[in-house]
Amino acid sequence: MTSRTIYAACASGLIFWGAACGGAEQATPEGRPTTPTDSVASPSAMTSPGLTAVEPWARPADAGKNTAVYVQLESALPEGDSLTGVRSEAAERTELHESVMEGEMMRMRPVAGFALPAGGRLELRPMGAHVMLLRLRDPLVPGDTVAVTFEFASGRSLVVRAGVRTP
Amino acid sequence: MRSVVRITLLWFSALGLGCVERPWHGIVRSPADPAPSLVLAGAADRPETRVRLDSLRGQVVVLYFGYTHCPDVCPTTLSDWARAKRALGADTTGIRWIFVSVDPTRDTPADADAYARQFDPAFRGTAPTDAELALLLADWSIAAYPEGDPRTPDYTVAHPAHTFVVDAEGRFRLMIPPGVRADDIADDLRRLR
Repeated sequence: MTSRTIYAACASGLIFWGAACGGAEQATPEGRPTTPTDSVASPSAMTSPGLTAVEPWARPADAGKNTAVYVQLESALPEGDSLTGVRSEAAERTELHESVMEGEMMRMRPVAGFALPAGGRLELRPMGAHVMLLRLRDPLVPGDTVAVTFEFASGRSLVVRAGVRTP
Repeated sequence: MRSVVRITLLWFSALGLGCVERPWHGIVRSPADPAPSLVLAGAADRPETRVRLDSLRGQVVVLYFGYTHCPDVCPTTLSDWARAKRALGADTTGIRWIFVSVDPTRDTPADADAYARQFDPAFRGTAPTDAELALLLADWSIAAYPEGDPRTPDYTVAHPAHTFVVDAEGRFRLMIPPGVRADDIADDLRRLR
């Protein structure tokens, strides 16, 4: 088995894992409406094919503190889109941020949006682009799950349930 | 034939190729001057939050200047430390791991200590007073400053990117950039111990 085959097998396994484990619910405004009992019933709580969240995870942190959520967002859509908003009930505020190294300094800057290319991928990862949860309402401990809604410029949205774990 | 081999070996050693050095993963400071002073009183009721760098001679000291509200870079760095420590195996007694908050407005010495211990029980944390912070930034020729509105709870803090390593002789030897793999951090620390 070549290493490329192994990578392909791993990648498809991850995608399957993301789909099978309910890591993401896909939504679009023009999709079918949700049932009234859906806990996240809103225009965003509809489904949309073409967006997949792979390996979402969040760092543990104490209540009142900040933490980050990471995920790889994959698009199977024919057109590009932009991630322009993030929402979560877990924190007082939720923002898109990017860690940047300037000279010998580490800084963090809020970002209005990140591009998701057509058929491409947007990677939120440690020391780079991430979702910042500010002032957590409750502590996040390993084994918990935190729900984050990703909102796109097109009107699509994606609810991602990120497992809390240490890297 | 044998003399040809001998001459070739001599020629290589004359070029210095005989003295092979293993490269470091962190950035080597040359000359490795004595580390600047670092004296932090900590909390009166928490003696473990008191830091006096020159009293740690004989041990390798791994230092990071961050803040506990830091969601991404600081926890990534301390997680890398934790994995480096595990890679070093059972005996890490010759190494001290110290997280120094540069956000005394929000972090008490006890906050910083509790934060550091989340990553490994052997890690210690502390926070300076405003006066101690000004002194340590000047002594270490580093910067740290709040960004956003420091009157709100949500400001961020710009802080040094590197992990600083002081060797057992008290010399400031290495700066480990963010992103260096935990195994490589362990490799550098093993050589200094």
